[in-house]
Amino acid sequence: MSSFTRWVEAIIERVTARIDYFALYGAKVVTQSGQTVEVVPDDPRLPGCRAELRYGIPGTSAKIPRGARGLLGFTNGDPGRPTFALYEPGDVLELVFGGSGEARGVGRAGDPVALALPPAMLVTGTVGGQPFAGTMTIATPVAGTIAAGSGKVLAAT
Amino acid sequence: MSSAAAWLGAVLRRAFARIDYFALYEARVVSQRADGSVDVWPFDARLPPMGGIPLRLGIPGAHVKLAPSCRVLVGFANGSPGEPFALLLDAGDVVSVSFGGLGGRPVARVGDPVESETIPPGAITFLSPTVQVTNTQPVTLRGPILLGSQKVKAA
Repeated sequence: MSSFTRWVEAIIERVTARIDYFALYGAKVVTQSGQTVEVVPDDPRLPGCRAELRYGIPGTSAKIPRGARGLLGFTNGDPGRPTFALYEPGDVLELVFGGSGEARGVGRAGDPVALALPPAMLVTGTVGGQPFAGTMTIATPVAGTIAAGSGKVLAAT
Repeated sequence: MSSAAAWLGAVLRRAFARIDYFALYEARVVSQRADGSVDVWPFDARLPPMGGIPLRLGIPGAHVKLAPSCRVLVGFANGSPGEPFALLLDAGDVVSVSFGGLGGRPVARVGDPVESETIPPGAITFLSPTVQVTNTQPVTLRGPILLGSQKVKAA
């Protein structure tokens, strides 16, 4: 290819080069406030901005660590409505599914449980062939574990 | 057509008639590597097979092991051919999905078993006015999880 041809192509590239606000751009999280994050895009043509977090599952919310990477997009191609989604594999500080309501940690196989029986449970039977009535007590809760769980869905510590 | 026009036409075709790297393309997963990245075969013949491209997921901290031959969408970060990624948008099965970072243990569900540590002999007593009985054998309590989230479920 001649240098003149490359020159013409370079001019065409420059004239047509623009930010496509329907595209997705790599970016890194700096800080999080609620369900928005301050991000720094990889593409130097894009300024840092505060973007709304989006997830692939409705009812999800997350606390995302500084430095997490994902893709920056723009709702309806509007530069004033940046969104951040599609995360690279990495860590997360907290992840909540199910929308509103009290969120508690999910149990995992191997996690501890405390089993308690009511105090002074009435029991009846026989002792030495004679009728027996009395109470049964296990004085303290009994420690145990969740013995099994899903074979497909795992949760980290 | 003059040679100048043909030349200009060729230049313009090279400049504009190309893969749109801001678009998404369907592909089939050939294999998944140990680091979670995938080897894919795009359905669009203009795109070559691509290896070791990262999966992008809608959940931060999530990691998945894909079912064989599942379909994904391939996109390009920053519109760069050198930065392909795969999206999981096909509703299908999965070998495993891990939340909260790498590793982890199976989440427990309603109906899953729990069991106690062993209760030693002598820890359980039966009392009545005339009889005192205690267990002489170790005992383990077992049972299912009775309640859980109404909204979040695991297969």
